[in-house]
Parts: sequence; C-alpha cells; structure tokens
Amino acid sequence: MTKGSRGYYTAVLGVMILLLLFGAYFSLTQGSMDMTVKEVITTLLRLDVQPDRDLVIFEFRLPRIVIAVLVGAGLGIAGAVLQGITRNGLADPGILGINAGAGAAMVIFLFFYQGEIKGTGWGAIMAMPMFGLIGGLLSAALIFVFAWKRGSLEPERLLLSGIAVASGLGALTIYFTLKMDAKDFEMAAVWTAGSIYNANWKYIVSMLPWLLILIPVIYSKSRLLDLLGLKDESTRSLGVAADKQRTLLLLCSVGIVSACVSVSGGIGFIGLMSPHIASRLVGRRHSRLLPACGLIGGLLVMISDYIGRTLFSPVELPAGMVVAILGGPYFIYLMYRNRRQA
Amino acid sequence: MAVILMVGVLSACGSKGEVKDSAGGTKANSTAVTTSAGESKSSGSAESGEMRTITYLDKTYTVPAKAQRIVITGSIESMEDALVLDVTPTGAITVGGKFPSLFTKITEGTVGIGEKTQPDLEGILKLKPDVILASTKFPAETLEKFAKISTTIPVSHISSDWEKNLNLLAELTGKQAQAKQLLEKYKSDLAEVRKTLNPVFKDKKVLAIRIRKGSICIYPQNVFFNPSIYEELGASVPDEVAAAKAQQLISLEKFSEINPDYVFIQFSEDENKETPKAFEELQNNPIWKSVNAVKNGHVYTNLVDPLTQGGTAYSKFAFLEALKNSTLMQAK
Repeated sequence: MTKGSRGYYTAVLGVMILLLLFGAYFSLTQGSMDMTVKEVITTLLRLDVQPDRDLVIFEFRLPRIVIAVLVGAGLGIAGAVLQGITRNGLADPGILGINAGAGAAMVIFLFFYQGEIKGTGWGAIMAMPMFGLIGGLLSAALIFVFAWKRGSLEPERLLLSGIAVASGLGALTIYFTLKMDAKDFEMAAVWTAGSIYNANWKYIVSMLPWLLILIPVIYSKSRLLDLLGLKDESTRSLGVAADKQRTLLLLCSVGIVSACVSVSGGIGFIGLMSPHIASRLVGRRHSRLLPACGLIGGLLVMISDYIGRTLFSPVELPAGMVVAILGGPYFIYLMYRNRRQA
Repeated sequence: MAVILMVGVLSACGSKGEVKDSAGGTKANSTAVTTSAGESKSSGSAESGEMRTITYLDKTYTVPAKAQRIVITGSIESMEDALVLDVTPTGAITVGGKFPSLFTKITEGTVGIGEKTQPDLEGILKLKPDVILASTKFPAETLEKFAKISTTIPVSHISSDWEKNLNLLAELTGKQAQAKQLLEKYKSDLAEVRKTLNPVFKDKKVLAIRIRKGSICIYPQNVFFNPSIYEELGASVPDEVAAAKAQQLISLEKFSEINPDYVFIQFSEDENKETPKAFEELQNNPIWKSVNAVKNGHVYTNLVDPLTQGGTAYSKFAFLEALKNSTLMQAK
C-alpha cells in the first residue's frame, strides 16, 4: 500500500479510530473508583443499575471523554484551517487571541460577579462558558479589525495582530488577577490552565451545535483550503475570491475554537500539533488532513486528560498542562526542523 | 428506605444542639440531597439513617443525625475548623499531594481526595460520605457533581462567616458545647488582649501584609488578619487598607509611604517559589529599614502558620494566642 493511496488513508483513519476507542476504553475503566471491566459494561448497557456506578460512568468519566474528544477535534481542525489560510506551519488557534480573550473575560467576570451567581441551575453553570465565549469572539473581532488592510485580510498581519492582541489581553488578565483575592482566583486558575475537569452534559450540549454546523462547512471547503495554500496571485487567477473565503473559514474556526475554549479553557498546542502529525500521516490534502486532524486532536486531549487524571491520583493535573508538557518539546522540535530546512 | 426526617430546623448558631443518635448509632449512608435548585436526588443505600435538617447561611440541608463520614474539599477554612474541634475528616484536601503538617493532628487515617481545586470525585464517592463540606469558591458545575455524591454544603470562604462555619462543623459532629466554650474563651481573651493593645495601637498605623510571589500584598479591612487587628483590637484602619477592594500589591516605596508603626508579616516559601529569598532581600533593603515599624522592632513575622488564611476560627484563635505571648503584650 503506498502512502497517499486511498487504501492507505482509510487504514490510517481506521487505526486512529481504533486508538480512540482504545483510549476511551481505558479512560472509562480506570479511575479512583475500582470497577471491573464487566461492571463498566453492565452499567453502560443498563444491565445492572447501581447508583454509584452510574454516577462514576455517566457523570464523571463519560462527559470528560466526550468533551476531551470534541475539544481536541475542534482545536485540531481549527488548527489545520489556520495553518492553511495563513500558510504558516506555526499558526495555532492561540494566535486568534481566543484563548487570551476568553481567559480575560472569565477573570473579569469573576472579578465583578464572584459569588453573586448562586445555585446550580443552567444559568449558573453556563455563566462561565458564556463569558468565555463572548470574550473569545470579541477578541477575535478585535484581531480582525487590526488585520484588515484595504479590504483584504493579510495572513502576516493576522498573525502579528493576533499575537499582539493575545499578549495585551494576557496582561489585562494578569492585572485583574493581581487585583483579586487569591482565593477567588484559584478556581479560575483551573480553567485557565485548560482543564476539562468540570465536563458535564450541559457543556457538551452547548458546544456540540457549533461543531456540528461549522465542521461540515469547513470540510466542504477543503478543496479551497488546498488552493489558499498557493500564492495569492495564483489563487486569484484560479478564480477564487481569496479574501472572502479566507474570512469565512476564519470565522468558522473562531466559532469552533470559542466553543471549545469556553468549556475547556486554554488548551494550547493541540491546534499546532495535530495538523503536523496528520500531514505526516495522510499528506497535505485538506479533504484528508481535516478528518485526521480531528481524530488526532481528540486522541491527544483524551490521552492527556487520562494521564492528568490518573498519573498522580488523587491529585489531578489539568489536561492543558499535560498537553503543554508534551507539546512544548514538540514545538521546539518543529522550529528546529524548520530552521534546518530553511 | 427508612429515612425519618426530623424537621426540627436547628439554628445555624447552634444554640440548640441536642442531637438524637439513631438507634444503633451506626453510620448512615443514606442521603436525601436537596440542592439549591430544588432538585432531589438520593444515592447510597440506607442502613438505618435518622436524618435531620440543619440550616447554614439561609439554606437548609438534610444530613444524618450524626454525620460520621465527613469529606472536606476545597475549603481550607473547614480544615482549620476541624483542627479547632478535633474532628478527623474521612477525606480531606491535600496540598502538594500530602496533608500539610499543620493538620497532622486531625488527618490520621484520613484519605487524601486531591488538591483544593480539582478534587478526585471518584475518590470522594468511594468514601461514601455522609456530608461533603465544599467551598463557595467552587463553580456551580462542580458543586452540582458533589451534590450527586452526597449532601454538599458549600462552606463560605468569606471571613465574616467564621463563627457560622465553626458552628456548622460543631453541629454536624455534635460538638456544639466545645465550640461554644472555645468561642467564649476567645471572646474573653480578646477583651483582655484588647485592653492592653488598644492603647498601644491607638493613633498608630498597624498593617498586616503577606509576601506573595516576592511582592508585598495588603488586604481589605474584612480579609486576612485584618478583622482581628482593626475590628477586634481596635487599631485604626489605614487609608490604603480602607481603599483596597481586594488583595492589592503595593510597592516598597508605597509601603514606606504608609510607614506603619506595627507590621504583621505572613511569609510562606510555598507562595514565593520563584523568589524564596524575597523576604530576606526585603529585609536588607534600605527603604524597608527606614520604616518606623522596622526601626522600632515592631515587625512580627509569621506569628501563626503562614498557611492559615486569617479569618477562620483557627487563625483567629492562633493569632490571638500568638499576640498574647508576643512582646507586644509587654510593650507599653
């Protein structure tokens, strides 16, 4: 089977799905609560209903797995889109300033409303993600404004203004953090470190529509993404309204990333790593790259969360931290390789 | 399920504290959880659980008549209360993977259920707690998960609730008498210390600071050890403290501008990991040395364990005790 053939691609995807199922299996069966595989299965299939086991499986473990896969897939795909339209292999959703914007919004929210929202209803539970979402979208809008030049969106300007806005918002976050009592802040710190500890079905319901609508839109444009990788002149000569399409794709990524970040906090590096791993496995064609990115992203976050949850149990590490520990060296390796090639 | 609800709503102040033990006094696993949203869930199997309700901060919770298996999560405040009342929790918060030495006395046989911010839910569930003492700092979604495990009481992290927090634990564990006695002792001690210190502090600037990440932090009037110093001992509140709405970093220059006459410093290396020498450096700084309190030797460092947060019964008791034994009491 040669690399690039249809069979090879199918095989790669198959292996990834298998790995994903494997990971899910481990995440479901391992944890502080000792449960045998049989108990997990009988609980899942509702053959033997016990409240404690139900709680562990359906409330504690399953939502985390689902959120991990969704967030990972979203970030992976958004990463591929961003690297495609900026033609820069080092772009990642972080440069859209969404993580920073959501983080800043969250901290500001805590600063003004800490303790004022009580109860455990929908409103209270969705308050944080809502603020995260709004903050993410606002900061992305800000970057768009800065990156817009004479009616066109230049990739370089986008990258630069993204970095600038992200660091500006980062400073704002630190400012508010210092103004706050450390005690009020410590729970928000979990979120900013990128944790899916608080995963629950409400979060899943709230983020799912974004992914279900936007990912197909992006996938339908995979051919276009291939073309946008060419020089602007060539793209135009092929009759592609480069700016319009680029903006549309960007907006889709913004939506996906905002939805992901709002429930999981700033999990970095996934959007950077997944496209690189995926392109080595299935090549650069986006119709293949995108699904692979989604699967790899999901796999990475799920494994990271599993490691973070079980490695030092009962002490938990945020998944984002595990990803960063794995991702940091990978990032350096990427830059090193880029330098050698240059 | 033979769950009998004793709908004798005991007041949170614990004035009325007779708790009838269930027939065998066996541990009760059954819980009828009433979350604030009003949804009702029950988990665990009932052995012989006599239930009662208690009220804390205007909310009513249903707990076993004698809560034996208490899990403390997220609330260092409750850990300190447990220390005061000598209650050994079934599960408790670890710091850096182990129980802080401060809590050695009450953590024998206690199971660690993870750090303050991301407690191990399954670990808590495994302990089959009668009641979970969580923190009001937890986001709603985390509290919701706790509530699915067992009755969850979010313990206030606001220091003015310290008496209520202590009484809550006393009520849960049937130690009201002890709590009452301790509070009375505190109040009489306080009156005594105040008698000596009020004239000392009069017209002087007294400041409590914490060194965090190498910087000087001051706190609002009702946070940290400030209530003890200002409200209870009658020192006048410096403008900067009155103006602070939350933890506030101040520069050394600002600190010397405030020029306090008495300084209480809490410094923990845990909070200054990157700058463990910060305090030493500060002490050698000429600006620091120019401050009245330093010149006159009125700097009191870590009178109580720097892990204590101030504003809990334990912190207050310890702070007062330390004051009683400090040179301040001999001073004129």
